[in-house]
Amino acid sequence: MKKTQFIPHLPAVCAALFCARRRTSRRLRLLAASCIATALLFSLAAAPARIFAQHKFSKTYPTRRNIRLQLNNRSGEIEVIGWGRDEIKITADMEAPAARFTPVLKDDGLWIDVMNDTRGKEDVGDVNFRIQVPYGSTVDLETKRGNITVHNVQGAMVRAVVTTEGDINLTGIRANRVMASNISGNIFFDADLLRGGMYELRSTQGDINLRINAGSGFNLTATAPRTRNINLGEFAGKGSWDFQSNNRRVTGKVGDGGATLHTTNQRGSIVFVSR
Amino acid sequence: MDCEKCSDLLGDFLDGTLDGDDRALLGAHLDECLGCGCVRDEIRSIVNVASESREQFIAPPNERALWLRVRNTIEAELSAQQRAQTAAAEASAARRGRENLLTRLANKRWALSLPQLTAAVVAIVVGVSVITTIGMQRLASQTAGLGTQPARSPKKLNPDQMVAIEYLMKRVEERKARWNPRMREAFDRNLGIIDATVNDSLKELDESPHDEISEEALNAAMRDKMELLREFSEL
Repeated sequence: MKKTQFIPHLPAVCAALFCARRRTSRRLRLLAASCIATALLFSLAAAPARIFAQHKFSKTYPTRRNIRLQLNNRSGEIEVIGWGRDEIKITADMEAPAARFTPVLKDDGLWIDVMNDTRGKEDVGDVNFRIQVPYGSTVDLETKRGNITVHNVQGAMVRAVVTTEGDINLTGIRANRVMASNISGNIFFDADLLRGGMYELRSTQGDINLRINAGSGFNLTATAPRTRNINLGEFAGKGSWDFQSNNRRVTGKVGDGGATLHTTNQRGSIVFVSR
Repeated sequence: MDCEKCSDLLGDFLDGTLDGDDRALLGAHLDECLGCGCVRDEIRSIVNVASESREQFIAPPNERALWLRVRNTIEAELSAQQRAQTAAAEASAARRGRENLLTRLANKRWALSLPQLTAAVVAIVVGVSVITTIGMQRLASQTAGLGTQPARSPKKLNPDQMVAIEYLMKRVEERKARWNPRMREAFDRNLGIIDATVNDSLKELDESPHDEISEEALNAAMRDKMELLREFSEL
C-alpha cells in the first residue's frame, strides 16, 4: 500500500510562485501570492478524497502476561510481535474511510473484529495491523487476504488463517498448539516443537518451509499429493520414515516423538531445515 | 277330587265327553273350588269366542288372490336367487378363463426350431448392444464436460455439499460487485486453485478409485471450497 501521496497541482504552483518573485514588483507579487494561495486551497480541496481518507489507529491496552489476542481482519497485513511489556499496542493503517473497528478488551482477551464491524459495507479496503503483545499471549488471527507474520510469541496457541492468498510467517514461536493455513502463499514455520504439542500447517498452493530445532522429537505426517515434493533435509537421517503412495505421504518419528506435526500441501512442496 | 285331577279332566268336561261319575265329582269340585271354577269360566269363554268367529278365520275374503300373491312372492324370491347364482357362475368362469390363459402361457412347452432359436438370440444380443452403446455414449458426453467443473462428478461428491455450494455460489455472485477489486481477484484466483485441486483429485480417483490420499485431498479441497464460499457470502 502507498504511504506517501502526491498532489499533482503542487509543482505548477511552486513554479508560478518562483516566476512571480523574480519578474514582478512587490505589489504584484503580493497579488500573485494571494492568487496562488487561493489556488492551492482549491487544489487541496479538489484532491481525491482517498488521499486524506487514509488514517491511522494507535492505542495501547494494559493487560496481563498470558492474554489472548483475537483478530478477524477482512483484508490487509497482520504483524504480531511479542514484547516484554504487559500491554498490547495496536497500530493500524486504514486504507478506506469505510474501514472501522473497535477493539474490545474483555477478561479473557482483546478482540478485534473488522469483519463484523464492516459487514455489508462497500470497498472497505485494506486494514494493516501491527500489534505488539506480551510474550506469553495466545494469538488467533484470521484474514480473507493478506500476509500474516507472528514473531516471538510463546503463549498457549498461535493460529493464523488466510482464507485466500497471503504468506504466513511464524518465527520464534514456542507454543503448544500452532495452526496455520492458506489457499495460496508460502508458509514459513520456525519454532520449537514442545513435548505434547500439536502443530498443523496446511496450504493448497505454495511452499511450506519448516525450520525446526535439530534436537526436537516429533511424529510427522507430511502429505504432498500433487508434487510428491517432501524434503526431510537433515531429519531424513534422524528418524524412521515410511514413504507411502509413491512418496505422496511421509510418516515417521524423530527422537522421542513427543510432538505431533501434520503438514499438507496439495500443490506445493514441503521442506524441512534443522537449526 | 283334588285340583290337579280337576285340571286334567277339565278339557273333557267342557267338551262334554266326560262320563257320569267323574262328571259329577268334577262338577262338585268346581262348585266348591273357587280357583278351578275361575279356570273353567275362562276356558269356556275362549271356546265360545272361537266357536263364534270360526267362519271369519277359516274362509278368507278372496282365497284365490291370496294364493296368487303368495305364489308371486315365492317366484320373485326364486328368480332373484337364480340371477345371483348365474352372476357368480359367470364371474368364476371368467376367472377360470384368465387363469387358464396365464397357466397355459406359463405351462406351455415352447418348441422352437434351430433357426428360430438363433434368430431370438441374435435379436436379444443386438438389443442389449444398442442399449449399452447408447448408455455409454451418454455417460461419455456427461463426463467430457467435467474438465473445468469438478463439482459435477456425481459419484464421488456429496450431493448435500453440492447443493450447499450452489446456494453459496449464488449468494457470492449477488454480493461480488460490492467488493474491492483486489478482493474479487483474490477470490476468483483462489477458487480456481481449489477447483484445480478438486479436478486433480477426481482424476486420481478415476485412475485409482480406492486411493486414500486422493480421497483425503478431495475432501479437504471441498471443505476449503465450502469455507471460502461461506466466508465470502457474508462479506
